[in-house]
Amino acid sequence: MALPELKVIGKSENHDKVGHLVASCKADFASDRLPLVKYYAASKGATVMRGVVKNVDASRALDLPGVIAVVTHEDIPIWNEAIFWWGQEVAGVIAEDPQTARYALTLIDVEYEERPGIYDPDESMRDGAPLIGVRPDSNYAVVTDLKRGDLEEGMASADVVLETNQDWTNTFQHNCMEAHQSLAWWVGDHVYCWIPSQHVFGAKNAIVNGLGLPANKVHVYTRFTGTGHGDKAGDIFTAATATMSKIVGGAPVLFEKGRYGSMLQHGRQFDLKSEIKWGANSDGKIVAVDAKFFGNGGVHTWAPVGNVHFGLRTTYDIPNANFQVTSVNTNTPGRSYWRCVNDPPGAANYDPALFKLAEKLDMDPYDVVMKNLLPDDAPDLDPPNRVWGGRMLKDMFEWCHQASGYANKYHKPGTKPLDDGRLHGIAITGHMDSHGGVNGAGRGAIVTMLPDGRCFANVGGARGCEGGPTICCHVVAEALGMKYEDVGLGRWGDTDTALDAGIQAGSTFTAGAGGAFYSAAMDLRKKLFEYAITKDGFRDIEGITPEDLDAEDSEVFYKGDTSIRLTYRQVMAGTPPTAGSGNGWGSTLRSRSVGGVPIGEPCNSNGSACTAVEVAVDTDTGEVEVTGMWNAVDTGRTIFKQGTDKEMWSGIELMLWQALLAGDVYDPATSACLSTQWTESMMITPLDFKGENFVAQDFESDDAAGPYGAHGIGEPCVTNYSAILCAIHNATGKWVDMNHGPCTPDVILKSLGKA
Amino acid sequence: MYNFTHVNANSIDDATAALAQGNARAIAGGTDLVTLLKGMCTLNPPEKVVNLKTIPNMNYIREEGGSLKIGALTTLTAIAKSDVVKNKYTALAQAAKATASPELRNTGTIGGNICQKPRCIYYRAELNTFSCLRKDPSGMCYALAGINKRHSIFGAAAGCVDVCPSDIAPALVALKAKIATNKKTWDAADFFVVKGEQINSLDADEIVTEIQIPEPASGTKSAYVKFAFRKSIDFPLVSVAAVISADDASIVLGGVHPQPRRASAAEDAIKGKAIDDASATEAGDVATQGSTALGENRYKIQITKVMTKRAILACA
Ligand code: SF4
Repeated sequence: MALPELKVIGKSENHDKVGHLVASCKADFASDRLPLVKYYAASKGATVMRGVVKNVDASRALDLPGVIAVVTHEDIPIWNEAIFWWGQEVAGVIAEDPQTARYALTLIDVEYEERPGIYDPDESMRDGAPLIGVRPDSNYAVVTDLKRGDLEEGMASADVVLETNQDWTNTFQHNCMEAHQSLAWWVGDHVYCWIPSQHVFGAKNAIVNGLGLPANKVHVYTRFTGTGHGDKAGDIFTAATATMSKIVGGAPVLFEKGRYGSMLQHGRQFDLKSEIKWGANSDGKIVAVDAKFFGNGGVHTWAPVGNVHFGLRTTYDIPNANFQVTSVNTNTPGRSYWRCVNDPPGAANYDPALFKLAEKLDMDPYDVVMKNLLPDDAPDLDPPNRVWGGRMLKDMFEWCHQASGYANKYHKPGTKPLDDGRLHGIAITGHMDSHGGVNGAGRGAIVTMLPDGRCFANVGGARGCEGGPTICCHVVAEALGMKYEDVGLGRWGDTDTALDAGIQAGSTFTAGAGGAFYSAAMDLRKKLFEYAITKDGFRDIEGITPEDLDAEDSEVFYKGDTSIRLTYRQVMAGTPPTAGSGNGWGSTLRSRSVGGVPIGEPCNSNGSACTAVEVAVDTDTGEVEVTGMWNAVDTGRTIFKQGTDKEMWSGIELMLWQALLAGDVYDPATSACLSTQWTESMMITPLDFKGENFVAQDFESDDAAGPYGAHGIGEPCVTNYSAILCAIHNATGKWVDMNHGPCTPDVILKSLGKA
Repeated sequence: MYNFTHVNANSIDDATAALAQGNARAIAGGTDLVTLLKGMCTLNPPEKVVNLKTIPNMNYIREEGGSLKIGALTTLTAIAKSDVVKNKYTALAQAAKATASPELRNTGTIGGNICQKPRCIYYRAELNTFSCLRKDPSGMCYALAGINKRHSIFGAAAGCVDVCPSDIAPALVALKAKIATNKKTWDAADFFVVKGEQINSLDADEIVTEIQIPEPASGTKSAYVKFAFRKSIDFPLVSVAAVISADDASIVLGGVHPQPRRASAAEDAIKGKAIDDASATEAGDVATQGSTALGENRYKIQITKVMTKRAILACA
């Protein structure tokens, strides 16, 4: 596709010119549509970790005034009599009000036949462990096995060989502000459903497949998600809601999971451990790595653990390597997508392992990192050895080093007390990120112009946030030569009027969906210029073709005489509404050649991030204060500076939460998830960090793959909680054993032998 | 949320009568009761909730007859900001300020704070999933062999190893406060017990009306220090209220036992001594005499020692 130059989007000098017009933050959610609701539904979770439902006695619940119906797996197509985790839905109540629906749950008696279940992933992998029931013949499977060079020879040639073990990182729920909910009703044999979903067509397909309905009789809408973090990408409980509505004659039913149901039945970050063996020369050059990762997917065999090695594989220049990932299952809630899915737990494993190697080599870990960093212009080391569309790791590491004053602050682990008696620590970590690129993201965009010249951008996904959609409207405006204010948002997230856009990730929206909107706008532009040459003013020009036209300020003009112009309204007069559609760009070099590889060739397009962290650790109490954080993110091109900064700051908060506070709590005997309330979820608050020496810095590498060089940044900027773990080690000289939970003071005290 | 009837009381007599009829509970700020009702984690849900906030003249802080008197409906924010409390009853002001978050302190009352229900993660599990001993005498204590990171390091009371969740409670015990109700006046030291779902001795129709704290002897200093994983909003994992004068010391631990617990050995260790790092450390070290960690909470022994030391040093 020919690329008309975007004049504002993607130009560094224009950071402050975009992003302010369409953003409104006026959101409506499924539960805001209360006037529509006739009945309310709630569901009850199993109280065994594994077994079979033998009987459901709903008589007491049905006797409760206000209860309309009780449903079980016999009624709801996506529910199951076989139980695989504590909390799996076994029954639901439809009632006249939400209080009655929830109270009635306590009056339902469920009888189970218990089967042996396993809570502990190590136990699940033990030879001879009983099958937990989610895979046919095993409790685990190797999902990634990549080899590079000759591992044995590499290890044999090394001066130093070191085996490192990292124990399980934390698992935790997303704690979306808006708990899971959906609303469904029937009109005749058509079903309508509202759901806050990151994948509205997935939610539609759940009804189509679950209820066996033709697609044209299923209408699903999503508008906003009150945060999603990936947890709202796989919501299929629309099928349950639609069934409940059908049971009550098609009346609107709002099925609210609440915080409790969201915690028990929806996705969460996986816990990860590793065994990493290094072979290195005494000068710090790593010549071999054998990295084995084990990810606990709970009951999800599809838990997205397979790419945890990505940062290690792509950041460092290691000639001989084996990267293996094993997906382990347990009778616990399923792990799913979380912001930056693989990279935070991956880095929390391989960064400490690398720091252990540096300690063994008696080197500063930063020097080991820099010695082994894959040059930014080098191609990927593994087949098909693609070049990177844009990569800034070296600059970002050096910036973190300089900005944090690392040269004057680094010391050997456990050797620097502060004046107040606490121990000082500092560390820098960074890596390529498996996210942030334009690979596969963004499809199904539609741009429509009405006969009055107004233009609307539409896609089948949640708006999620306002920054991304705003930029997409701006992209449409630029591609069509329109004023920003003349392009608005269409009915996003409406399966009747939009195309399937796949999973909407707010954090890569600008890079992914922006490309799709660019394509859609170019498709529409072509059609509009074809109309234009038939209109008064242009049609008399001898031999005119659409290529002779251009547009600016919502006017189409003749390039041969720019005074000959028509507004889009004039172009559209007498024509029906006209739409263009388009998909994203994929990861192909488009704007420039990289490393001698010509435009048009596939490339790798990913984000990356780097963080320096400084901590003070109180060895009396185990408390960690993060006193400084310098967070660098390769944005490709920063499009909307305000939105970029917001993403980075939210990333900083999330990193602190993830490292220091985030962790599910499970009862070991039953595998019941107990952290369904805020006291145990420990969401981070502003009082938990001071932020005085916190800096968020975007770096522009101008990725050659995207339509305007942008990387998605929401995910790369949350990847560096490993830096906090490494800084704690630099302070205390001890590595913590997180044991599936966060790095809370008790964990630190344990590492110090004080608990 | 359970369904219930809401009744506004106009007087203590009104409230007492309403509470005496059937299954009813009193509500003031509601910051604890509402979460309990929403979570549906009591086996005995109230049919009636009696609003005390409509009773006049129960919101005050005044010095009278050699003691400080605080109306039961006084908010924690008012107590934390009161000059007289800050100056003479510092431990109480600090305990009020350490409670929950600003929003909850603006709503929550001192009376409500000492009438909270347990915070044990099993007790609070929604929909009464775990019928533990506090709710059901035929139940069991799940925390003993389960999740007990936040639980007692000084054994059980009535079979329960949960901890008293109130920040205010240890401060009141250390300050030798009295708690007046519509039926009698309690010594704070006797008020906090394990009684079914309650953390105190109140009868079903008994209402806290006033807190009375004797004016400390001249030269007395007091402090409340708290340890929690988060710097805001959390319940105490360990807290220490210390009230120290030239010849007396009262040191009370919170968050380590189902009741506020006097650290008698620590009191004896610091009594009459000059407060310095060495004497505070010595007292802190003996504060945990008699402690026994559960599976996950050995760290609380270390924290208790350090917090005791810090509370004592804050009284220097
Ligand atoms: S500690 Fe107390 S409240 Fe918790 S489970 Fe045991 S008996 Fe129940």
